[in-house]
Amino acid sequence: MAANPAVMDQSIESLEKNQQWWWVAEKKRSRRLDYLRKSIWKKGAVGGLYNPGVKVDLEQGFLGMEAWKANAIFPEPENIRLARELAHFLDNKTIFITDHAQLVGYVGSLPHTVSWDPSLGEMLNEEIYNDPSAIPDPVDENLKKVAELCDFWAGKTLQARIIPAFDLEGMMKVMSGAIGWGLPTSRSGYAGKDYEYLMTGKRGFADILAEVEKKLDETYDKLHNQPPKRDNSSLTDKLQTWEAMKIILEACIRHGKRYARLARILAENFESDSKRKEELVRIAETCERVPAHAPRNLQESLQYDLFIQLFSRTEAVEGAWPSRPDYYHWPYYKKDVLDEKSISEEAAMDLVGEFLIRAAEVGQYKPRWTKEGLQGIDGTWVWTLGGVYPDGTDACNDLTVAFLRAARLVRVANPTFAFRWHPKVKDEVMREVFECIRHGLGYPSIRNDPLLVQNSMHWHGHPLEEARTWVHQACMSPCPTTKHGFQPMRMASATANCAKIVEYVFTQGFDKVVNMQMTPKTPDPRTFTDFEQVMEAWNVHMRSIFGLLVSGVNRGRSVASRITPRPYLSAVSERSVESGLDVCDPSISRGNSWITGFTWVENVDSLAAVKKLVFDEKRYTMDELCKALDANWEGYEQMRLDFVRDAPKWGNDDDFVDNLMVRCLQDVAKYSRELECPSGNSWPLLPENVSGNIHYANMVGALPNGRRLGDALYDGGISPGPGLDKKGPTAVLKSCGKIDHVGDGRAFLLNQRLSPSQLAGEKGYQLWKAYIRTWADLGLDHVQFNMVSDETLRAAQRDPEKYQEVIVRVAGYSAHFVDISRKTQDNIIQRTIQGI
Amino acid sequence: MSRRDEIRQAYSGIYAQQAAPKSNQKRPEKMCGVCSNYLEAAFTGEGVGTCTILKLGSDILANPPVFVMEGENGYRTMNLRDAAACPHYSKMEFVDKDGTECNDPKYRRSMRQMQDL
Amino acid sequence: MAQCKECRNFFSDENQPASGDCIRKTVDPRQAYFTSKRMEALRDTKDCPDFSNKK
Repeated sequence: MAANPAVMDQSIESLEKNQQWWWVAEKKRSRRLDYLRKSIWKKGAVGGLYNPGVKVDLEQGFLGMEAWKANAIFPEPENIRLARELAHFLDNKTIFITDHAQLVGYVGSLPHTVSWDPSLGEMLNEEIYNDPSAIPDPVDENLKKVAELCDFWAGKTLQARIIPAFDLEGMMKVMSGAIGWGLPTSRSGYAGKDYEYLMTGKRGFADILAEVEKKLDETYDKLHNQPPKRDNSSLTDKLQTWEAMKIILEACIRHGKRYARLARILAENFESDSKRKEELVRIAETCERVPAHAPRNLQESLQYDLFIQLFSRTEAVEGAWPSRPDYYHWPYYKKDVLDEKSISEEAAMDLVGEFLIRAAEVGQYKPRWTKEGLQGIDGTWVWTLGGVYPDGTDACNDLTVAFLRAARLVRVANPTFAFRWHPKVKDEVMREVFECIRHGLGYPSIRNDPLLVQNSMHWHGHPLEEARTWVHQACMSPCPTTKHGFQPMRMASATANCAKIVEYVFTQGFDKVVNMQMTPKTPDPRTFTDFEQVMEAWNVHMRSIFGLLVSGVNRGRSVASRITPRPYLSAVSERSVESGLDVCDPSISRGNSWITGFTWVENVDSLAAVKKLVFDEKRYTMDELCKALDANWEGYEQMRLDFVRDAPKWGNDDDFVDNLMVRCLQDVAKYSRELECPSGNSWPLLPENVSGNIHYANMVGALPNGRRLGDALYDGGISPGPGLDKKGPTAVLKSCGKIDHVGDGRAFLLNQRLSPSQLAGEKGYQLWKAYIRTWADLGLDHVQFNMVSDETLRAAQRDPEKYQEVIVRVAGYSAHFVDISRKTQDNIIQRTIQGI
Repeated sequence: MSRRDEIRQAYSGIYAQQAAPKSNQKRPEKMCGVCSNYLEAAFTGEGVGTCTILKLGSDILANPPVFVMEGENGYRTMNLRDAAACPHYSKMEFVDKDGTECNDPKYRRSMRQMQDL
Repeated sequence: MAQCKECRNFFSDENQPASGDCIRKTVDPRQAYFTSKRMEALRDTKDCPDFSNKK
C-alpha cells in the first residue's frame, strides 16, 4: 500500500514539531511494519456496523455442522463433543500467511472476516442474518448459507441449553438490554489464563498432554481395576474431562504444524526472494516447535502466546485479552537481544510490532451491545506492563521499553497498555510511558500498583505473591495469573447500567424505555419529604439491579462445567489438569468477581441536584421534578438549566457532592460484602464505561442532573461529566482522592484530557510527572489520558482518510477516532482539556 | 396464568418465529417494527422489542388476536411481526436506518430487511 | 473427471496420503496472503474455477 501523500514530502522533525505523531510513525517504522500495519482489516464496529469489506466467516459454522452430525451417531458428553468439534475445525479451516509476516494465526479463515460460531446462540445467529453489511459477497448466495446455518443450529445452541437453567424472569430483565450487558455463559466473556503454568518456559502442550495421559491411565485403572468407592461417579466425569483435554491439545499441536507445513511449501515452491525464504523456513521451525513445546526464543515465545489466544478464541467469543507481555516474554528477549545477540533490537522491534498487529486484527462477530459499547475495537485488549515481581522488586525491563516504542510505531488502538506504576519505576521507563501518552495513543493508562495489590488482597484474599502477578482481566480489574487465582470466565453480564438506579427512584422501578417493571416498586417520589427517603429508594434499586446481575452470573458459573464446559481452557490450566475438573468449576478457584458500573457518576450528580434544589433550598418540589422528568424536560428548560448549573457537580473538590459519591460507594461496598460468588468471594463495584455512555444514551431516561433521554451519558468511571469539571485537574484529583480506592470498590476509572501544547518537551514531562505524584499521593488507583487537540479531531471528522491512525482514549480502551460513531466523537471532543 | 407461564408465552412466540426456516421469513406490509408504539430492544440485533400499548399476554397473531391492556410489562414482539390485526398500529413517519450510530429504540431500525423501506 | 491431486495448487501430504493442501494466493484491498485449505486428493474438481492441471 502506498505511503500517505501528506507524509511523503515532510521531514520527521517537521512532523514532530507539529505533533502529527501518526505521520511520524508512518515515516519511522520499518517497511515490514508499515506494510503489516496497513494490512489490518479493522474489526471494530462504528456504532453498530462493521467497516465496509469486513464480512462474517461461514467456515466454522459448516465445519461445526459436520462435527455435530458425526457426533449424533454416537453422542458424547458435551465437553468431549465440543473438543471434537473444535478439533475438526482446527484440522480443516482455511489458514493463511500474510506477505512479510513472521507471526501467524487468525480466528477466521481470511483476513477480512470476523469469525462466527453459530453453535453459541440463536440470538447471535439472528443478528447475523439481520446484518445489513457483513454478509459475504455474493450476498444472495451467502444469505442462503447463513440461513442454512441459522436453521440447522436453531434449538441446538449453547444458549438453548443454558437459558432454561436460569431464572426466567431475571433473564428477561437482563435481555431487555436496559440494565446490563451480556449473557452469562462461559463461552462469551473474558477468560484469564494460568500464565504461571503456561508461559514460564516449563512446558508446552505436548508436556501437558503427557500429564493428561498419565491422569487418564491412573484414573482408568482406579475406575476399572480397583474396588469402587463412593467417588466412582466423579471418576467417570474426570475421565471425560481429561479425554476432552487430550482431544483438543492434540488438535492444537496439529494446527501449529499446519502452519509449519504451509510455510515450508511456500518457501520451497512459491518464494524466490532468498531473505523471505529464510523467514518462511523460520516460521516453519517456529510452528513445528510451538505450541507443542516450550519456546526457546523470542519469535517462538510470541508465536506461542498467539496460539494460546487463538485457540481460546476458537472455543469462546472473548471480549478481553489479559496479558503481561513484557513479563512473560522477557527471558526470551533478554536471551536473543542482550545475551546471545542472535537478533538485533530492530529485528526484535519488528517482531514486537507485528505481535501488536496480530492482536489488533483479531475479530469475532459480536452482538449489538458489544459492537456499540466497544466501538472501534473487537474487545478490550488491555495489556499490563511494568509492575513488580512476586518478591516486590521492579519488573520493568528492556522489553517494557520495546513494547512502548513499538506501540508508538504501529499505533494500533487495541491492544492498549496499562502501566503498573510503583514508586521505584526508573525515570527512563516513565519517560517512555509519557512519550506514548504525548504521542496521543491514549495509553498506557497508569495503575497504582501497591494500592491495587492491596485491593486484590482485601476483596479476594489473594496472597501477596499471587496478587503481585496481576494482569488486567479486562479493562480495569486486576486478576492474578496463578493456579487458583486466575478467573476462567468473567462474564460481561455483571455489567450494570447504573444510571438506571437513580432513574428508577423517579419511576418507582418501572423502565419506560423497555416498558417493564424492572425493580421493586418503591414509594411514589412525590411523597418524599426528606432526602433520606430518596437514598432509601436508591438503595432498593441499587441492590435489586446488582443482585439480579450477580445472580445470573453466579448461576452461569455454577452450571458452566456441566452445560458450557471449556475443554481447551481447562487443558491449559494447572488446577484442571491436576483435578480433572472443568476450569469453570468454582471449587478449584478463589474467585475474582466484580460488578462493572457503567454510567455511575450520573447517580451522584443527580442526587446532589435533588438534595440541593429540592430539599435544602426548596426551589422545586419533588412533584415538579417528577413532572419535568416525565416530560423529558420538554417545556421545563429553565428548570433543567437550574439543575445543570446550580447543583454542584462531581470533580470540583466540593464536599457537598463528593460526600454523596463516597456515601453511595460505601452503600454499594456494604452490599458487595453481602454478595457472594460461587467460590465464596465478594462482588465489589468497579465504575467504568467503555462506550456504554453512547450505547445507553437512548436507553436512559431524563435524570435530575439535567440530562434528557438521548443525550450522551458521562464518559465513565469516576470521571466528571464532560465540561462539568471547572476547577482544574487538581480539584478532579482531590475529589477522586476522597474515595478509598481499596475499601470502597474494586477500581475506579478516571479519564483526563490534557493539552498537547502544554505537555511538549522536557517541561511537559516534568509537569506530567508532578501530576502523577499528586495522583499517587492522593491514593488513586487509575488514570488515563487523552492528549490530542480539538483542531486535530475536527480535522479528522472532516477528512477521515488522512487521519486513520489518530487515536483517542474512549474510556477503558482506546480507539481510532475515525472508527467510532459521530456522536461518540463529539462526546470526546466535549471533554474538558485540563491545563496542569 | 403463572408468572413463569407469562414469560414463556412472551418469548415462545418470538423464538418460534425465529426458529422457523428462514426461507419462510417475510416482511409484512404492516409490521411492529415501523409502528410508533414499538421500541426495539438494544440488547442484540435480533430484531425484537416491546409494544408500549399492549401488555404481556397479548398475541396479535392469534386467531382471534388477544389484546391485553393491563399489566406491568409490555407485549414482547418483533420488528417483522405482522401487525395487520392490531388496532393500535400507527405507522412511523420517520425510520432511521443508519446503523453507524448506536441504537435508538424508538426510531432506529438498522436491520437488513428494513433497509429499503 | 479431474481430481484435486492433479492440480498444480494441490500439495499432497505424505503423512495422510488421502488428503493434502490447496494453496492459493490472494490479493485483497489491504494485503496479499497465501491460503491453505485441506482437500481430499480424489475430490472432483468440476466445480472448482481455479483448477489448473499440473501437466
